[in-house]
Amino acid sequence: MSTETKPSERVTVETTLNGTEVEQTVPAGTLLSAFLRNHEYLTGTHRGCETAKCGACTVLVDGDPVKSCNMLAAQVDGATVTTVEGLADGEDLHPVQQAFWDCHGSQCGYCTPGFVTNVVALLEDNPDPSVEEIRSHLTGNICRCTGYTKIIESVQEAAARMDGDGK
Amino acid sequence: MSKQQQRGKQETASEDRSTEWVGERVNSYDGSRFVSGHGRYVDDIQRPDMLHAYFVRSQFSHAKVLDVDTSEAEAQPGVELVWTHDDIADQVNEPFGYMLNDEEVLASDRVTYAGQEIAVVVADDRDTAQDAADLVDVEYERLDTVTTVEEALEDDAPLVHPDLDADPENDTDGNVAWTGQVEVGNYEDPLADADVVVEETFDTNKTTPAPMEPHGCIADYNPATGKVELVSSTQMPHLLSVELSEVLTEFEQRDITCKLPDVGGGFGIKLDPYPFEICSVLLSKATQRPVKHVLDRLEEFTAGRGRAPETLEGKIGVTEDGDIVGLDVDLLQNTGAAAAYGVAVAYSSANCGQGPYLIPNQHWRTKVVYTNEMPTTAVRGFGDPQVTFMREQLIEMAAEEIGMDAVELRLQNSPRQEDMPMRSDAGHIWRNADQITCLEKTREMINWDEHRGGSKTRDGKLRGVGMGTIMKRGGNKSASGGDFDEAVVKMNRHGDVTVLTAIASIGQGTETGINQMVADTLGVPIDRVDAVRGDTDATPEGLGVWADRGTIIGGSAAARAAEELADTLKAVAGHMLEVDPDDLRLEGGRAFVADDPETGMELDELANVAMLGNPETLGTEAERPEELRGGISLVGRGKYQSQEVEFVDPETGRGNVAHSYTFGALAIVVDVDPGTGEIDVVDVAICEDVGNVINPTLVEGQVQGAIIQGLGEALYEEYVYDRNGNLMNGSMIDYHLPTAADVPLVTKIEELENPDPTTSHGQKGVGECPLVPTPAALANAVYDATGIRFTELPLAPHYVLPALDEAGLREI
Ligand code: FES
Ligand code: FES
Repeated sequence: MSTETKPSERVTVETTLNGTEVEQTVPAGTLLSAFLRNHEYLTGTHRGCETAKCGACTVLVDGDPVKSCNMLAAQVDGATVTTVEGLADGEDLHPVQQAFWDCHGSQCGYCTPGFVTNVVALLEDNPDPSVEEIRSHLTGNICRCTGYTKIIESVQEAAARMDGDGK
Repeated sequence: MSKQQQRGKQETASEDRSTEWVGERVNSYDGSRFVSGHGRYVDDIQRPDMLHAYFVRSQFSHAKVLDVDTSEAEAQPGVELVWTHDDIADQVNEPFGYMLNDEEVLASDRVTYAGQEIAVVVADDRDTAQDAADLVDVEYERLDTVTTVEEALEDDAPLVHPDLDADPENDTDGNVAWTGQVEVGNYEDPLADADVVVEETFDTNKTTPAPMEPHGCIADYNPATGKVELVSSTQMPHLLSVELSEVLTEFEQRDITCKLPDVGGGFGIKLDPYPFEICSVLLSKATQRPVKHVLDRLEEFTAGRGRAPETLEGKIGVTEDGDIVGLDVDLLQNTGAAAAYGVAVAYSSANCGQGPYLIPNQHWRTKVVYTNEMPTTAVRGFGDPQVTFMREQLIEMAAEEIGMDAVELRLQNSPRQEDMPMRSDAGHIWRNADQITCLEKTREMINWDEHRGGSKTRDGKLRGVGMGTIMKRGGNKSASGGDFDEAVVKMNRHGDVTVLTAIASIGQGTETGINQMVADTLGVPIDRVDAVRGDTDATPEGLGVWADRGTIIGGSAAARAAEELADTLKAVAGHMLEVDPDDLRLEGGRAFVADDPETGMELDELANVAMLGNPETLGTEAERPEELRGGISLVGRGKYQSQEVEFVDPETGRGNVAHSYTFGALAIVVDVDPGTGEIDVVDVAICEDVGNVINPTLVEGQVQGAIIQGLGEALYEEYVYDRNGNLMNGSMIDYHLPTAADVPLVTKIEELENPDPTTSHGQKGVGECPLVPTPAALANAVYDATGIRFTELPLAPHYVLPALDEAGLREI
């Protein structure tokens, strides 16, 4: 879209969302988080702050983690978007999701989709991250319940299960 | 794991109970939905034709409201209604409040804090409502503001509630909302027997627990029945319907169905009945459409409530030999513009302020004071973190003064397990807790002797160790007049089990523990047990989750309900197998004779036979034992009513304020950077006596989460108000919450399992406890490292660095 577009004008967004081609016409000012939640009914992407701080709204755009409260829907036109709902294979959870469940990396679950998507991206780049690497990768995600220990253990467990070489 | 028995008839049944699930690391019941993005929080729920509410909130901390002009907002397309106080005045009992009646739903002629609700707009969508709210024109006349307790108590202080006698039973005036006292032993001169008296004044900080999910609700009024369904992100659905019915003049408890969605954290601040809930109900009634309101993060910071800051002037008296003889404390609570749970926070924390010690003489004088700041309320720890910050520092100060090790002093003054059950000095009934081992284990895990006395690390940091202790309430009855929960456990014809409980799920995992207990009692696999929680139309009465009561009270009720169902199943199986039901065991999805496992039957077959109750399978009713006649119900009912908890005596402040108490100790090692004033927590160890552990993973999760929440409050978090009472840091950017990079891994966790004889499985409270000693232990560790006693929270670099400078410890 051009920079001249007014927020109330309507724009058409074409994206590959969780593996499906999607075309929607929305007001140009629509945030990606609102687009996903209100137009696509993908409510796994949560809103915790809407100031790009808490990470509850993290999704993958062309594989990179982004905070969907900090991006317009129009900016994903032509891109591939994966939300937490797009990670599982039918009833089989993604290994990162399974590890978060098995290691109790999720309590109230509100932050969890943001962590899970961000960790999927981390392990894509770095299949065997150290504790310090995990910590620094996750500074953009806030969890109020777990105190992070079991989140970090979940990441280590997922890494071990995914590449099989431990740590 | 040892097994505790219910009293009376259920004892025999319990002895036979399988232990396949209790004590195991069962995955959380809700976890698979949460990790896959299929949770259902209130903002995820859409209703056809739903309206959205948005509030006009006060821009000033103290002002007269001269006029509210809603005309421009009302003229906006998509706006349905704009309401001010006059529009609801005859539909609400005002003022209202949990303990003191000091709140209005929408401000009438005065506002008392910045963020207070003045008007509400309801519109087709949230953006329209929010934009229209901006167009509501409020004419204010500013009034002088008080933001500190000192100002508020001055003779000529502006009054927050000039026309209000919030507590007619209590002789208060000015800005004092409530006063109380705890009097123990020689309270008139509690330090008379002391050789050494140590005194200091401590100031704690105002914080928010900031659950990741904001508050929110959907109200859906049905004009045909006159009833409203309220889906709200709350910790106590049943009590919410009770409390809302007291505010809403046209609704009885039976007219308000509260239903729980998934709740993204609560930590105490999702207990109060909030103006947004009250308005949503009334707006839905007026518009005959569903109305949703979810707070945004700024509203959470300015109106979502939080922890009360307290000033504690404390004196502790010890003998030369290290006996603690007395404690004398003035506690001032800055409760904000409404007291909410503040009064309970003050009296229960003073009642429990002695902590896990024997202190024969005590005098506590507490004052809850109004100021023009956001109201405070219940927050994880409920006043204990504040008083513990004082007490545990006074104890380490006293130990130093008499030349005794601080752990030794604690050990010397702690109650002995062999003396329990016992009444503490302030009236608590202490049962079966091993505080001595908690202290010794913690000392060992943290390498106390190696660190104590302070040292310098190779990279030039100042290292030290400090401790704090726990004696935390589980359950309470002043919230509801009693402490009880009911539960129903039912089975379908396929042998699948559903637990119905009033216990709320806010992430703490109580339902998982309950399912484990129920699965063991019925001998079914855990994945055959489901939980329905907090739906006042469907779940039996109970009080929700607060004060660590869920697993103690709600869990014990569910266990009893499962026992009743198990008795029925055994009676049917006994009849069919022609054996004595008492000889049967339920385990692994079968009912079988304990001594002869071959003689038995599958539970799903048993369930089907019992559900149908046909003479072809069971014989005629005349041929059956008494209990299998007149309909065989596969519904088990259970109730747990605490017989232990007492109301505290209003004169002396003494009494058994809780059902049970969890004891423990926590120690922290810190490195203080003399160049920056930053504090790095390098090690944490905790040992608590939590009774029998239902699920070790979930307990660890609570412990880790509580400690990190406590560290955030101790290290960085604080509400910063300007002189006019405006919040300066109301966003997650300006109010720093700990991230994974800020805090240590918490893995040194030791749980002692001395069972509480009064609960179904010997369980005690867990979730709030580890937060309680964390700020105290941190400050003690910093003292050990630096020799500087920090008496104010938080220990943020901008406070620590100047103090290091003054002490000549700063390095540039
Ligand atoms: S909602 Fe997007 S970062 Fe918090
Ligand atoms: S699990 Fe509740 S915020 Fe992370």
